[in-house]
Amino acid sequence: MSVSFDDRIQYIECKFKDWGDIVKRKFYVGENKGRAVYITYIDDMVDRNLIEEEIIKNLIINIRLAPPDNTAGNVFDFYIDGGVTTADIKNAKDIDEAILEVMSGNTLMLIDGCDEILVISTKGFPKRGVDKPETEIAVQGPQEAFAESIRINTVLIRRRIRDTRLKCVQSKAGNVSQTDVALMYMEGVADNKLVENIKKKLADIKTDMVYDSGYLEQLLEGNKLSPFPQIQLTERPDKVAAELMEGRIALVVDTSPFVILLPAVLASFYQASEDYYQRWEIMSFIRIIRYLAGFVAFSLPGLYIAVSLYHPSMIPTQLALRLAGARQTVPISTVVEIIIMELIFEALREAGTRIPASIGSTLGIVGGIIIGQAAVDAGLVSPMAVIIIALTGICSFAIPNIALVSAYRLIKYFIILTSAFAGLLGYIAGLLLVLIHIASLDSFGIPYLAPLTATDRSRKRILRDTIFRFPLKNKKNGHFYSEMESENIER
Amino acid sequence: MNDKISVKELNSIIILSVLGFEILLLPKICHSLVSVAAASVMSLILMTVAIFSDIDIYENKLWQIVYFIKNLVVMVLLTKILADAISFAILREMALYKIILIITLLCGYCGYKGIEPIGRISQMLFWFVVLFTLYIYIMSTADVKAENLFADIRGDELSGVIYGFVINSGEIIILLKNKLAGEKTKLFKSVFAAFLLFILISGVIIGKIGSVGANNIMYPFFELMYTADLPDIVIKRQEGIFISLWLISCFITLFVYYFSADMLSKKIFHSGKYMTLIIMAVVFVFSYIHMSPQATMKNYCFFQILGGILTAFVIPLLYVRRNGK
Repeated sequence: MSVSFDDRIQYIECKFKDWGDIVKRKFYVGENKGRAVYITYIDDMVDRNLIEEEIIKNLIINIRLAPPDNTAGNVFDFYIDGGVTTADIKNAKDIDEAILEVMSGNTLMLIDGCDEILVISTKGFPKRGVDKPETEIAVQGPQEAFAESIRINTVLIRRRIRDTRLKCVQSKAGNVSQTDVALMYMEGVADNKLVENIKKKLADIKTDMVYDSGYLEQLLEGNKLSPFPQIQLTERPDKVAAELMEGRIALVVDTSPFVILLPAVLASFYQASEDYYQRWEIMSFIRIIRYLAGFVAFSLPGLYIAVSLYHPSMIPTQLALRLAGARQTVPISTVVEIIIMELIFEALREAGTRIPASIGSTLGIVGGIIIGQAAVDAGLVSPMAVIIIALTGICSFAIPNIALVSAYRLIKYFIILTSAFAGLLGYIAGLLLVLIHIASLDSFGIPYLAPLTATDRSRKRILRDTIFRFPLKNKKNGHFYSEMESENIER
Repeated sequence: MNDKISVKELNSIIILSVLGFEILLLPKICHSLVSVAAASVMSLILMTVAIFSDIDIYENKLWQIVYFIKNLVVMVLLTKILADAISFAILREMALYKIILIITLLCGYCGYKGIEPIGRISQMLFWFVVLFTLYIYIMSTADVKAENLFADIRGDELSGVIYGFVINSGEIIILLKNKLAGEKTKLFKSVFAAFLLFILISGVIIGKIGSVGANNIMYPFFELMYTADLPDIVIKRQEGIFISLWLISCFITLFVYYFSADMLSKKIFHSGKYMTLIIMAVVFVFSYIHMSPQATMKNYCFFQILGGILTAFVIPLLYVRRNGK
């Protein structure tokens, strides 16, 4: 049963009751101004110029004649063809869908005597433009980062892959927020089952709000108790484009300047876009440094505690004497000393993140140098503890992914505790526990430690783009993720 | 998780098991190169039989029970052997129960996590362990004395053959064969490498320390580490690194036993709940029963010889009889 024009308007106005920022207008068009048209949109979420010039002006001024055949279908086509001179229009299934579109920045239009509910794409809300990356800085290479607008982000990716196989499936996430999410993948490169699996998972998400890609990241992860990230976030369009060509899938979330890449393996968190923009020799060397730095970042304090507390005989005698001498005035145990120093460093890091950039360097000098030096001079901490903490901190900054660094920050305390409990045995046991945990993880069916392990590939193929970065001519346009997916299924 | 391991992963597990407990025990129980060679040949035969015997211990009720009990005994004894060795080498001050507790907790967790993570970390850590271990042996070859290698050879061939049954690499093949995703004949690579490693490493230890020394010293393997004349290019005292890497090999072997016991218990008792915890508790309690390190080793050898005979003769024979092949 069709609903009357006035009833629809009443329903819409009831829904938008107490909306101070809604714009509603009913006006008359056609011969003798005989047909009512109703449009509504949210102020400043739309491109007002487009609405006034391409819709209202056309309808009121240009259309003066009634359609030759005055049936409802004809009337609708007549007004649309002559009055709405924009390409992006669609018929909504029902009034609720149309209201949702209004909340996304589109304009709803009703024509008296027609059943159709027209939605005109008029999005034009205020948005930030393309800026420089903040968390994935590259010396060489593009200096573009994603912004908060989904459309800007998809365009940044499309600019880099001009191929019809690059698909972009759009859906919504969040029952209340109704956030737009674009699933992008290369058809024929990404594994079809993986694409379907992710679509299903997206559809199954039951949450009210999705404010950022971080929300989706946590909702999509397989092992939610693990501190290790199983999904990668990036703010670099060049990285997303490159990863799409490897068979990965990108989720672009509206209102977030970070794009989700999945699946993710541990090795992918050690890779940076810049690795491919410079010569392979230096970038392979830097990658090895990153892996070593990553290991040091979570294991050095534990090793120091194990050796100094349980196995001092492992340290050369002169050094052991000097260390013991430096610790003579320190009133706290080595374990507590290291933990307190680590916590202070965490506080400094947190303060550094929130503090305005103009006084950031002051904080570094006051916190790192003055307080550190004063604490050593006062005999509150030993110089070795300061060196260990500083080294750990520096090494953690060498890893190009914040999420992995955060995981290592937590794991570090676990290794400290196991080492404090049982020296080298505790240290090894702690490392093995962490390793077994990582080895048991997978990201959308791909083992987390692939291709370093969990594959029968040749060593050369394994190392080609993991610990090393082989010359680009050797970097086949291999679809690593889809290959791993099928390897895993064959088992 | 698909609960399967690749050929590379199983090969890594086999080699690491050689570099762990086998190297700790073999030079202690074989006193000459002839004995070591006989044990190595026997282990080679044992592992070959393990590869080709088609029986699946996880599908037959009798084998499930037999191997579950045997696994429990082996786990208790291996935990005790490892705890004694750790206490001797790096943690003399620590109470033994604490060491046993750490070993049990770690192995219980890893066994519970399944065979895939164990296979993956074996493959990942393989070269670290192998290269560092081979480094120490190669650096010690200069101290090998020929007379040590061939001293005290009376009756050694027979004892070597008997001690060949102690090797648990063959048993690991039996325990993990049905989890292998790939051709089992590809395991020959690691079987042959294991054979060479037995001879090389045990030969170096015996050649350097001598049969009398190996007999008197509790852990000839550690003695080699302590006395190895290594260039101090990195740090001065390197044995801590080697012992840590050796520990990884031992843990990998134990993980396999824990995994197998966990799986067998679930099949026998048709209950997955709390079985891992019960197994861990049993191993912890029985490992703590007072037994000298020598007696533990002796008991372990006895059980492994029984297990070896089971693997090498009984299972294939019963299988042949049952299938009329």
